[in-house]
Amino acid sequence: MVENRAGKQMQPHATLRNLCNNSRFYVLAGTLLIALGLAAALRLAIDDSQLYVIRLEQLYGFMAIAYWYAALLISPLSKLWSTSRAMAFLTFTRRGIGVSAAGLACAHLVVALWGQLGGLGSLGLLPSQFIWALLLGIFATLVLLVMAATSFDKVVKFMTYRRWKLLHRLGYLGGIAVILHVWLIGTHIEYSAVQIAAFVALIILFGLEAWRLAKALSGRYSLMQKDVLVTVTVCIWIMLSGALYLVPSLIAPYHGERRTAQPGQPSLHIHGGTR
Amino acid sequence: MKKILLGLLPLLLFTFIMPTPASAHVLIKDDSHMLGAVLHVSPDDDPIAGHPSDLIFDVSDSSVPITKNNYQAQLLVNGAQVDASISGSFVIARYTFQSQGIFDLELLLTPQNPINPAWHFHYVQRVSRGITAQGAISQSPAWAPPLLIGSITMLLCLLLLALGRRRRIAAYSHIKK
Repeated sequence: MVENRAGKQMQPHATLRNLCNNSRFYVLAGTLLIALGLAAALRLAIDDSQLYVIRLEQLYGFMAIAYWYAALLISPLSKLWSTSRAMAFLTFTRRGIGVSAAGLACAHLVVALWGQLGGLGSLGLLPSQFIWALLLGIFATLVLLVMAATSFDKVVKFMTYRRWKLLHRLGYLGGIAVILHVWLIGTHIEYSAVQIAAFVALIILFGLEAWRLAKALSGRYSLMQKDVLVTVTVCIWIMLSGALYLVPSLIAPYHGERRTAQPGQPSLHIHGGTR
Repeated sequence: MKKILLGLLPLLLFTFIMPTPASAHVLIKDDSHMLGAVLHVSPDDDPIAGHPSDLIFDVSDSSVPITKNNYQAQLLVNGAQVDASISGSFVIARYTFQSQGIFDLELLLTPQNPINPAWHFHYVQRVSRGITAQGAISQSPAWAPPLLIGSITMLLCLLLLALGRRRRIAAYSHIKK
């Protein structure tokens, strides 16, 4: 039994009894209610069933990415402000955010596959680039699901923390798959403003991750001097940002191919992209 | 630094203000369910009555490639023919929906060589923006309002519960950590 700040006794392992004291429960329940509420609000706003399915799929996809981004951001931030109580609270809550991201990604996948595309049987009728983009999205969802399924204290204990951590590094691979998935078939990534926002958000994440990685490397090789740490951080940051910057020039998005399909025909969307 | 920021400001404003319509994707199948086409309708798959929309069908790979040498494309909107052309695997047309309502889109791909199969796609497009047609009615499903009210109410309850227990919630996260 442990005494909390309010002076009342709490049992840390009585999970169900303490459900209402667990911030992860609020994140999960809140996400479920927001997802349901938005689905209903969207239905009231959109008459056309097909358009409703498209918007719902886009909404859940966006929410899944936002949650995943938040979960990824908390990790390096907690290293930066390790003594902060708020950061400790967020680090604890992160698991709830991650599981919510997995749920939203599943909802996105279900709506896209069965609502928008008409089931698994229809995959064969899609253009090949579309299929590759979908497979990347499915892979990312599976990664999130594996991470969510192994996000219980008992599983961590069973697997040992080292193995569990190793498994959760899959999240980075999943992150790359998401970036490619969105770039290939994301609808609103066509907008310059969205491209800028996504680029800035990823650059911030890369900066923080670079700092975390540099600190881990410096610690391992006993190079704790500040100038070394800064140099390694900047090098990793530039490498990651450069790789991200190269994505548009290396991989043509599906919508871009469609745009440039027909010169001289009805003018398709011409964008001033921010590549 | 200020000069650089001031120089970048118009560029950023231009980027954000510039209209750039996007479109999502709907998979439609031909009558025999052997061939698929991803349909894009601009802008945002939600056409505006009175404004031109681009209708783009990306036809998937088939035994005989859909090219302008092999096939002839014919697009019908509510039975009326619309100019359509084939470019690569795309069938492209520009059409202005006259008013809000439901429109039948029919795409006929006729082979130049009769031994090749003909394809027929059918899709119902709803137009709910722009010029309103007389007698147009919008229906909202019965499940949506109660679900919306229910989820908002439960969200508020959850918020109140969390606020009331905020000290215990903070303490619990530290114990578990």
